[in-house]
Amino acid sequence: MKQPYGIDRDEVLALEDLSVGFVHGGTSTVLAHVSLSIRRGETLGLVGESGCGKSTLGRAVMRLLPSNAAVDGEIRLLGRDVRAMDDREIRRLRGGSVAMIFQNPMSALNPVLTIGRQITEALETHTGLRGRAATARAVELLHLVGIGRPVDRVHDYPHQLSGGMRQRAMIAMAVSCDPKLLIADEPTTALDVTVQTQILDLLAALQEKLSMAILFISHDMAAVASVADRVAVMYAGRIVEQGQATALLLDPAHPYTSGLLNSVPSVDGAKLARLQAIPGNVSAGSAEAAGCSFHPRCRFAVTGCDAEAPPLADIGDGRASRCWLATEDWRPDAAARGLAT
Amino acid sequence: MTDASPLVSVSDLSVEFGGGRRAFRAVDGVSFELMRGETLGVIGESGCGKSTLVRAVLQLLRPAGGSVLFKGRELTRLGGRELRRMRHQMQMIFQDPRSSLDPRWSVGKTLREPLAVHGIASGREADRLVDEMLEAVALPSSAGTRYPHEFSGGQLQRIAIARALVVKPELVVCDEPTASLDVSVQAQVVNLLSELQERFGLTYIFISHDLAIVRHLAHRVMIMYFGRVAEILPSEDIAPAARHPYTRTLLSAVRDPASAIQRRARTLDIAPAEALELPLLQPDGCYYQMRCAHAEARCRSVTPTLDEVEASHSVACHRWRSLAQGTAA
Repeated sequence: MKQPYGIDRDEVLALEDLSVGFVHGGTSTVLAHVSLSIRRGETLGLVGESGCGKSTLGRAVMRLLPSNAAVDGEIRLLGRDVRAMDDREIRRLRGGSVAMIFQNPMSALNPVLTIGRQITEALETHTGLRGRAATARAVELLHLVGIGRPVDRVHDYPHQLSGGMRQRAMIAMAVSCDPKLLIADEPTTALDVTVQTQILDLLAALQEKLSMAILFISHDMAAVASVADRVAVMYAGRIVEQGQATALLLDPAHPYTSGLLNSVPSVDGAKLARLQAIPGNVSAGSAEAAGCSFHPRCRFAVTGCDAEAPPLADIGDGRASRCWLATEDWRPDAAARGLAT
Repeated sequence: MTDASPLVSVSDLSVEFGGGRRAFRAVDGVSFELMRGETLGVIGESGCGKSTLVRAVLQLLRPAGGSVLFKGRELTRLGGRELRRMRHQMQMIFQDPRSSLDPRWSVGKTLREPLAVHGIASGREADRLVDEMLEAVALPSSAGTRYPHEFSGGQLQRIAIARALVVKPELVVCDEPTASLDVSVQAQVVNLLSELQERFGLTYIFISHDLAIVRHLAHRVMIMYFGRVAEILPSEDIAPAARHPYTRTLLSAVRDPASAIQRRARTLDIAPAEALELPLLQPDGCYYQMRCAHAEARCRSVTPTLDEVEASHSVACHRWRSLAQGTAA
């Protein structure tokens, strides 16, 4: 594909100033001025709670938003403008160079078609493989995702598989046409912990093998920590912090990131009398409210936080934090220890 | 003196689905005791029988065998009417408040109904109890006139908790009450449950698949595998004390961000999935044999009994003595 001059050849996906609103009477803003990019072979973890806009972002990339969505900004996929594509082009893209896996494989798989048929269908649409060759490739793919006895399993229907197996089958389908970008929307949320670990390992291993980029959407910080190279934390439709996964997760710079990490208890170490909860709930702040959308729940909020929204400030080492207090050195965990003494 | 006797005492409880020779034992010979004011955490993967177990304890499902003593009374022999008279003493909180609350009932009506059903209060007295309960779960009394769709998930779970507690139960069974909530709200509900336990002297059975949450809330943790108790132990030092290979597997699967980052240094292999799925047939011997790295001949023929490791710590594994503490499965 011809790349316009000046564009990073390894860039797979870039969002620039993406905003999405839904029109129903008035307009509600779900995503506000989001910019991010993912390069070849890289995993970007997109973290946030329900309603923060992370799934809307994934769907916007695939152009799967409902017709009342008002989209603004640029979505550049493999150097091309997704919003300018015609229907034929976008159909070729979906399931081809961009694939998506969802939280609940049972609702994403067709219950009346065998696993094998669902994979060969994608192969026929996107690669031209047919008949025995397609079936052979489906068997290969099931083997690739760690499903035992794939020769028999291609004839199984979704209900004959366990939850973990179904998620593997869905991953096999997603990677069948060698995607450049895989959008994984909460792929481990519905699974048991032991199976979650397997699926996360599988995704990491597949990525290395196929060198695809992954947009990993999840509310689970630990799941994100297992796979992501970089992390973007979303709150009420905006990115509030982003940076390298290790630095961000071990040393959070935004009060919300630190709050999310601290509200989960550990299985070893001393038991706490109370968990450190973030007060209030997400609806307490929204993308349209004046000031920082997190300030009503923030223990560090100061005068001014309610008046003007902070910018996503660069704090060095490729990190950014949307907080008036953010500097290179300010960290909420250290500040909280200061408050306590 | 009653304080020294357990509130609930379950012995050899079994639940079967289907009849005759093809019957499936979803719960198979489970025994435990629950003291007043205690929280017992029940943990296991989906399909392990943890929800079936508590439903059988509450007699929402009739067990195939075994006994459930609640305050000294044998629940399995009680008829429907007698059971109904005791229901207000044992309440349940479910995973998804959106599906367990009636969308067309105001919160006030939802909370007044159990008071009327159990003949506890009506009129002004009922209103007073409802207001008191809303205050206890940190909702404004104006919430009473509003409807479920006006609340967030965390607030709805507070309402569901209020409905369970308004009849002043002694035993509260919580079936994954935080699983459908956002992380930041989960911690609020967990804190609320501990506060309410202290305030009203409640006894909890807390079901979850989240070992970290269970450890935080429970005094003792019961690990279930395929309908049987694998291990039961104090929650405080579950990580160092766990003996059963399955408990160790669950512990090693718990990820927090810091350990997850460390784990990424490993080599990447795609492991076959087969070994970690639940078996569909109930084999002879220990059910965990197929997944267990330490299984030997007797594990495939003899069902392990629940042996006492020390006071309040029991394990059902033939090999617990020879497996060193801290051995990963």
